[in-house]
Amino acid sequence: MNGLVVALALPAVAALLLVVLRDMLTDRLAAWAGVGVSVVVAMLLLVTWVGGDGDGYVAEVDLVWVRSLDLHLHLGMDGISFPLLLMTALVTALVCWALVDDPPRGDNATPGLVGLLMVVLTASIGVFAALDLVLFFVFFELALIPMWFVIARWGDPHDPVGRRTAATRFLLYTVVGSALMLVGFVTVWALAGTVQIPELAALGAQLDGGWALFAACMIALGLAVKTPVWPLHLWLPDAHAKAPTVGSVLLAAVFLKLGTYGLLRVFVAVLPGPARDLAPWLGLLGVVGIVVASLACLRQADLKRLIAYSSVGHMGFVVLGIATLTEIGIAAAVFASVAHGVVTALLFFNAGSLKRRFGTAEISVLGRGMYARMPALAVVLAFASVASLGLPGLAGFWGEMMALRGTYEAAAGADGAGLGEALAAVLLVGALLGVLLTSAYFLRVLRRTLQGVPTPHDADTDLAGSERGIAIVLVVAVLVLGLVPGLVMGVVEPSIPAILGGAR
Amino acid sequence: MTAVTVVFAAMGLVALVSAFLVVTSDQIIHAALWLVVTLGAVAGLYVLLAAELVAWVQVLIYMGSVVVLLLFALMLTRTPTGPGSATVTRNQPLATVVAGATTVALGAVMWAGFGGEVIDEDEVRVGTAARLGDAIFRTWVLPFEVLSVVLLAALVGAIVLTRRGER
Amino acid sequence: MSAVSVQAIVGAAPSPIEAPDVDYATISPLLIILGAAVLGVLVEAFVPRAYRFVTQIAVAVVGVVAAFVATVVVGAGLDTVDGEVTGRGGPTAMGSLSVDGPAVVTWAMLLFFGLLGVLLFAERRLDGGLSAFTSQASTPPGSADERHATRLRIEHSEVFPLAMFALGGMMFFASANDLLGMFVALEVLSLPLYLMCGLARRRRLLSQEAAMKYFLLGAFSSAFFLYGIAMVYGYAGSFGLAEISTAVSSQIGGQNLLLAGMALILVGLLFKVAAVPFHAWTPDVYQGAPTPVTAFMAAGTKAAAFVAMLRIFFVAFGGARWDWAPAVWAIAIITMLFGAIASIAQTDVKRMLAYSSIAHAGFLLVGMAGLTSGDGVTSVSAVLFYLVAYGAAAIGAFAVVTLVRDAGGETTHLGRWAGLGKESPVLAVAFTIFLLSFAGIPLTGGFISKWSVFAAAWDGGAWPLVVVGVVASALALFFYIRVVVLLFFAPPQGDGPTVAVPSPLTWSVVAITVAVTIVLGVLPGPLLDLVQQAGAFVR
Repeated sequence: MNGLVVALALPAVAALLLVVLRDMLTDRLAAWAGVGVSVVVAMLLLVTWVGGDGDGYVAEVDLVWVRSLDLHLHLGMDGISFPLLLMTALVTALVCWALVDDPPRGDNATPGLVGLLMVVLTASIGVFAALDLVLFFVFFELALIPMWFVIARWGDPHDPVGRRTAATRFLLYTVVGSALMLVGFVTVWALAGTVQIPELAALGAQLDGGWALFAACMIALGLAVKTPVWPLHLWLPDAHAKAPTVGSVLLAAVFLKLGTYGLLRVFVAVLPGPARDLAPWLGLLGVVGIVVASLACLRQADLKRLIAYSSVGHMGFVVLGIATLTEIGIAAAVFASVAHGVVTALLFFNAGSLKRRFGTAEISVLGRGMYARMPALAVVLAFASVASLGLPGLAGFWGEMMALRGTYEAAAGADGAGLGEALAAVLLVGALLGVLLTSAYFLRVLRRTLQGVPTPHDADTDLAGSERGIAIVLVVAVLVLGLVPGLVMGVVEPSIPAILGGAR
Repeated sequence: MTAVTVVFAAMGLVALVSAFLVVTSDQIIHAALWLVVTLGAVAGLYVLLAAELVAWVQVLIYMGSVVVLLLFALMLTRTPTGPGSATVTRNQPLATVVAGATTVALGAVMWAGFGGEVIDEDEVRVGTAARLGDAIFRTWVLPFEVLSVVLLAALVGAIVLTRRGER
Repeated sequence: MSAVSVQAIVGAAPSPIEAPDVDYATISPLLIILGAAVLGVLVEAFVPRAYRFVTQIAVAVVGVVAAFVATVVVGAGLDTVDGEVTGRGGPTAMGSLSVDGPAVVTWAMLLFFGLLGVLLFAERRLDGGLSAFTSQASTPPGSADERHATRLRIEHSEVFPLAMFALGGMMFFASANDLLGMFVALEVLSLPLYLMCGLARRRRLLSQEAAMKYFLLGAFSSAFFLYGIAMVYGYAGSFGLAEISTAVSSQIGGQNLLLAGMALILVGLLFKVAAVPFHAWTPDVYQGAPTPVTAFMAAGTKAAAFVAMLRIFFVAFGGARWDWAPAVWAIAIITMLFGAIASIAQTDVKRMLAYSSIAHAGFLLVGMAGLTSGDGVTSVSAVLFYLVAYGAAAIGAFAVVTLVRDAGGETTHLGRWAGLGKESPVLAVAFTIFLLSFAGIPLTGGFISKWSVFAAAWDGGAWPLVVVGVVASALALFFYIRVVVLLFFAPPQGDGPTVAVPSPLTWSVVAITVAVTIVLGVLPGPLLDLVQQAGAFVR
């Protein structure tokens, strides 16, 4: 039995059971079921990975799905996808854990919500494991609809119209993007006669010329909406701000990674030639995103929106790393994706805890002196913030560092880099400016909420129950990633040549 | 120019003149009777084109039943039948245009499709009963039978739309 | 006179005409349906009123099922023909019908739609024990006579034979092998539909207006079609598709006549499939007609007309492809865009579904621009698959429409559908699945069908159509999403919509169509294989 297939099917079955048996389940039971399934999925993935022979794709399956359209159920994982897969399963487990103490509104609504989360889990695993372009697209779309429901149904309770608008905007941006991506896939299929990613990657530089460039543009546009790359990020702040905590966490930790992973797997690996043509533009937009997002963060009044904008900035680093087309840049992209998933999940859990207590995440309402009012919560928030701004020794540092290193290598004229020397130098300066601004806005937040004379509030209660547990898990994860980056890098590095194979 | 051509031309002229009188006569009964003459002349044309069966069908169905039906309708509906009963309406110019356009279009199709064809009335028997029977009951038997379905459906429809009372 | 003596007399006279060569077994599905229709007329005449409705249902259902079985048998027995293209079966009944692979698949599809249609027609639990059809069409709306007829529980059970007539016409239309037969078939399928459109029980004036509009525009389009046939006859000297094809490829001259004829035939058919700019009747008719009729019509007419259109243009006019393809391209583009954009402004569920049907006609035209033959997805197989997926979802969607009601009958105003997700989650989820399939979201039939028509079109070199098609899909999604938002997230108006409790008939239609939509999205393989094995048209 293929572990990957089981990991893919298990949450789907769980979702079905949860919905069918929703009347027989209590809120807590459903939430624990979600935790259990996610943890089992994570264990399965881990066992399958460890048991793999490390050659090519682990747990590769290739079944014919639709013979006449030449669509395959082609799954497998390598060093690029495995860390993201594992992170997805663990974050989903934490999200379900959060529901144990914080059930969603509505009478016995948890089974439904957990069911949707399980569909998201299946779809995300599907995207990360798909080795067929159409299958990739199918799971990519499948992930959207449950998330849309989560935001529109359980989003910000104080703003029903706003949350619906935000959810719909999220859906439409992404669907329009993925429609363009589908055009790109059809073009690739017409050019190469196959949609199997390994076969396409083996074709390498053969896919070139006007049509290939067209396909690459379409695919890049679709993925850029999801990632998001400035200026296509407009859906993101609202969607994050209006989503319930579980939604925000999953959006940031998992959904954005679907885009960055897609850029690696179906953009750089499948269309190396056109990717090289487009890399400078991608890098430029990435750096503009870093700077613009940090400037926007400086004047955000809402903590959740601020974290959302900071995600745009972090994704800018990921995109910059990809655009360098250097080994270290690709490694940076994967590492930063995982690190961002963990760190931002922690930030959003914290923001969610605050919103639950105060009914809003407006910084002015939260008051000052939180160190004194809610010490544990405040310390975790401070920890997550400094991790996010890239303090050495914590998870956020390595991704940014390696992306900058990649850009520096390109500026120094490394062989095969995607960026010209002059452009890389400019981008390097821009990105460094972004690093400074990022520190500035996080420190501003910390100063305005955590420090100062305490302003006590009725809602002041410190982290408790599952909140505390989740915080501990994530803090440990941030520390591990920061102190032993080799854990991830060792997995990622062997697979980088496969991604860059055609580009070299 | 053979005798047949002369007769054909004469019949055609009769058909045209009487058709003109159908639309210009100011008494509706007269118009109906002129229609008989038109249809009869056309039937004559069919005979000359060696289509005997079509000619007889024309006489039986159009000259016979259709005109009689028309006259019955006029009597039963108590339409005024005296002078001026077929008054000119404002739509007449428009009708002229439509009729003219149809004539030109149909004529053009005929001309383009069969312009150069000559019917040898001694050799080809286009419209004999045998040929027609062969066409209807062999080549086109299925469309012909299905056509009856249209009529049946129309009949059922007419009943649905008009029938009242308990059944 | 006994049977023996008749035999003797007939046998004694020399037969003046050779009997036509008709293979009754091959055309048995068609004959069964028309037979069921005629039987229905007899039932109308002889069965007492109390049992009439039920008897009609039984006759129609048995007829459709028997015809389906016959279709399967016929389809299994088709011979493979190897010519320029691979096909199966061939002309029969003196060349009037071409019972080939696509024809048999279309028959099966139409019979499936017909069965669902009959089940919806038979629903009587929604409106106080009465069907969706008016008690007596001849009574003026709102009159005392009408109330009297309703009180007496008089019903128009004639709709069943009429539906069977229409179904027979559709089947004939999809397989007719000459233009004359196609015209006859067009009339057979249209006439009963015009009539049924005017028979709604509620909002009768709207329904009658719809019937009138449909009749006038339908007659108009028939005239176009007929005129086109005349011109093509003038060009080729024959009605047979094969002969026309020979004439077209040998370019016997008089090309103007051919072009004019093709254009007129195309116009006539585009009316029937509701392509822009010949779509004007669609929203009004879909809205006014009784919803079960709309469901049957939306799925059936579109399927029959599209298969007939492909047959005419691929078989007869295949040699003139570069004359008609640009027109099809242009119409496909405006139809997709118009359908998608116009639907955004709709406030009525049935009109919205009508505009979506227009947009789908555009996508199907994209499929028509694809490859005619080859190993991959051909136009014919892509369009056939699309028609099954679309038809099932359309019937399901209209079935859901019949269930959302208030005191005045169906509530089709979109605003009144707000909060359906709370009132009846199952129904709302079903409707959402249909909408997602219309939008072409993966794991529904709509996605695979769009993928296959786009793939066929791309292979045929029609990439601009594919690009426009994807953009139009994304646009259309905007408003499908709007509806889903309304169903689940909008606060209900007043008490919110009420959902009538239907009999198992309507439930089974909804369940079947949901199942088909999902299965075609998840496991489309078998049907795709089937439509591919059906091969090309055989002339």
